[in-house]
Amino acid sequence: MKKVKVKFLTIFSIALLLFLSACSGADDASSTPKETGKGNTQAGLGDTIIVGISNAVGSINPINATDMAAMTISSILFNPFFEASETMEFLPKLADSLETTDNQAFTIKLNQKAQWTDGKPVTTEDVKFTFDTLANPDVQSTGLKTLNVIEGLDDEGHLPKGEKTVSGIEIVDDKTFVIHTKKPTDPNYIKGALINVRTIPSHILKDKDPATLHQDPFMLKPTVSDGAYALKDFSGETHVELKANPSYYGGAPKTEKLFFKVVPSANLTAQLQTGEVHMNYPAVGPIAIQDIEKVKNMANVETIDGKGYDYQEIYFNTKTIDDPKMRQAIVYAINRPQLVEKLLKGKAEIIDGPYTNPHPYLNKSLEKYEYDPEKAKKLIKESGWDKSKTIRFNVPVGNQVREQAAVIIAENLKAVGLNVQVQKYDFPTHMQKGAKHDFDLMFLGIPYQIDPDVSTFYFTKAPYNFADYSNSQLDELLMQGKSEPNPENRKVIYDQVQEILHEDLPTITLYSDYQMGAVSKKIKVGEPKQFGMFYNVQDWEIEK
Amino acid sequence: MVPYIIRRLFIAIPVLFGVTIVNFIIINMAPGNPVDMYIDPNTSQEQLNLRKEQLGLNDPLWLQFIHWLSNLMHGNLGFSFSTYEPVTKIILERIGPTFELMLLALLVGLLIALPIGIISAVKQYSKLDYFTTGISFFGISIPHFFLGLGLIYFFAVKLQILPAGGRSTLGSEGDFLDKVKHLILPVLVLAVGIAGQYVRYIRASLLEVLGQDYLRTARAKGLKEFVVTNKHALKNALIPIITIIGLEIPLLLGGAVITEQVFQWPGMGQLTIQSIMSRDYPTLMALNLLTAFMVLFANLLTDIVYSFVDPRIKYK
Repeated sequence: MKKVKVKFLTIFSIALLLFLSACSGADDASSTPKETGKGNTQAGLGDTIIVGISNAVGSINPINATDMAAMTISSILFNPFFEASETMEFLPKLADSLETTDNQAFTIKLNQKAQWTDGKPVTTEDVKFTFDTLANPDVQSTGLKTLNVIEGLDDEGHLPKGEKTVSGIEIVDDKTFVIHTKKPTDPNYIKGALINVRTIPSHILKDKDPATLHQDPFMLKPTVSDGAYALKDFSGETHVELKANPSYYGGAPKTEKLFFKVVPSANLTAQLQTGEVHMNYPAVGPIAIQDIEKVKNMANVETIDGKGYDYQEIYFNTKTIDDPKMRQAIVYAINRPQLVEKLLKGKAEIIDGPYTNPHPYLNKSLEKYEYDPEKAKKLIKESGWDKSKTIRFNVPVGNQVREQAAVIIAENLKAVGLNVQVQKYDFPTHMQKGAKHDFDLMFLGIPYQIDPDVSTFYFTKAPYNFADYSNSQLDELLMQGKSEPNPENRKVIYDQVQEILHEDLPTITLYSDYQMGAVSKKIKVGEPKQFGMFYNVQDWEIEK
Repeated sequence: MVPYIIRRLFIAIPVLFGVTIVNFIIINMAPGNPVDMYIDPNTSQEQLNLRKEQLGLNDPLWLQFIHWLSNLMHGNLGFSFSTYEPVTKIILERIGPTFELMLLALLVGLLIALPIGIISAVKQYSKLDYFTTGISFFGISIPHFFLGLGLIYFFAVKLQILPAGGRSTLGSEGDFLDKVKHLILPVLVLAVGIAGQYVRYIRASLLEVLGQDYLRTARAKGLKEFVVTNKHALKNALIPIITIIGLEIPLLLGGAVITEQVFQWPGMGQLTIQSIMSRDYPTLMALNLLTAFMVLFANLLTDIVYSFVDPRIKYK
């Protein structure tokens, strides 16, 4: 019995000692980094650039990447044929040129020096294999989507049953191939659609089973690629590490390591300040609007004002709010100037339709809806809307500014006598309610589309036509616009499309917010951009 | 004892089965599905349907469950819907960091709580007692995200002596000191909450014991007050604490959802949130199964340990 007592006492005193030493240990630990800390975070990392993003990265599979961050990283590993710049020019990447004489046969020449990291050249064989794989309905991939204009594909961009290869892809030689389309097509449409086609190595993948290709270790963590950087470590929820590809045909990268670091947007600002992140990627790592002034005042960071590409819009459920007059009334009632000035601190612009200011197809002759609550009240009266009826306003959670905007909009609508109820949902729920048209007003952010085709939002029964809008005249115009090869004629068509949308209002764009970029002053080359940010990634350099 | 353990293990099987069924139903009842997450407007309805078909989401629910169960019997937890990696691999990658974080937090929390709890019980209703009680309520009630962000602001942004998040400095090879530095803040946030709770438990439990007759006997036979409290009293007072610690074990693997988010700790809590947000059914099912298993296992373990600590408890 005595022994047990002694034992217990000893254990307890050891525990106590441990506790005391842990206390002083913690003190030591927090004071030693004081001396070594600064050296530690900077020395040895001169060859590393860290890009901050705020969403987890999904699969970077070159033919199956679905989120923006994953697509971007995948396009650094596997060069697409072209990349879009901020001015919406298509810059050659894997392709050297695209030429056509009849808008139906497009001759593409690959970069002569292009090669895989295992030393094999990138050839048209790889290109053909890529198209065949993307068009194969057995393969889980993002598919060819808008490239369904290519000969030999059905409307979904798939091969018909029994076919193994895409007949519209013709190989001329090792580095030259021709894309044949069913009908004459705008070359810019082809280039734009090619942005998300990344060529994959056929010599590695050709014998794999198509049905499980999306789970293949190579597709999850590619070991052979052709871009400026190769994959080193993928851990989608925290970071993605890339290492320089010294044999890159666009020139060996000047910085050894490139990281994408997933940081919640509340911490992004802090990490820019501490130097744990060197720059943000505005498209998926926006700086919170309330932090903008703070970031601008940081001594170690430079800021770049963005442009408004993406936009926030409200879908009207055209079945429950079926009178266009009533939809116009709601638009007149929303105080958008106040939203932009007060909530977004002027870092946004007001537009009405689906094309933002940088878009070449924006119809500038249309007069924007003003804030006019009196006119709104008048239109509500004319439309005979029953004011006691509840208007369900669906808002996705996650974007704080958007949630606050929803509150203001609801107040605006109450001010003209409408009975609005804001309903917040997590994103998958929100989207499902949208697809079922289970809402009256639906808030959604829409990414910038390079091509002017908006049929997916407005064509009868199209997947993103949450408004359940149907207008045969518009449907016809959208079909024409899609198949018209001449850009000038297309402009005329889409001007008309915008006129109809402006009058009928299945959706109203609220604002297009500027995405600010922030970059550490230690970075000599490389800066945040909404488009084409990584086009010159091989030249990026950080002060050593 | 051994037959008892075996019996408990057998009972666990139908319980686990029931838990998975309920989980499966609840997960599938949540509105939205993984395919709804694709916001690429260039995707047509047919492509979305094809994607659903490929993920097996068009099958009736009971069939999906049978598929899942039969895969499980073959030791296959399926593939994540968002990264397409095997779920087993994803979880194995996450368990280590979470275990490291949670175990350290529990230890640090207990080491803080033990002496404070004892002092506050022995000096009941003294100023010191009120003070420690106040502090422990502060520890229990302060939200983790708030404390976490506050610590980041102070130690990472203002003083710049500790990193703001992550598990090691990106780009460095991650030496030991670097890892310790990344651990300090998240462990501290969690330990404050744990210590706050345990101070209360230990104080209450010890107070109950301090009034007992056998302690009066101990004092009467001339033992020092220090020995009386820290040996005779504490030993018995700790028995209920063991139950509470036992119940924490599932958390050791379940992770701390909020703290892991704030500090970008690559653990199970973060994985859980992200799987929910992306409706990654296979990963969610596996996480739930693991948690259910851990709860059952921890209960059993607690019962066994109990019989060692308290000879009055016997299992047949």
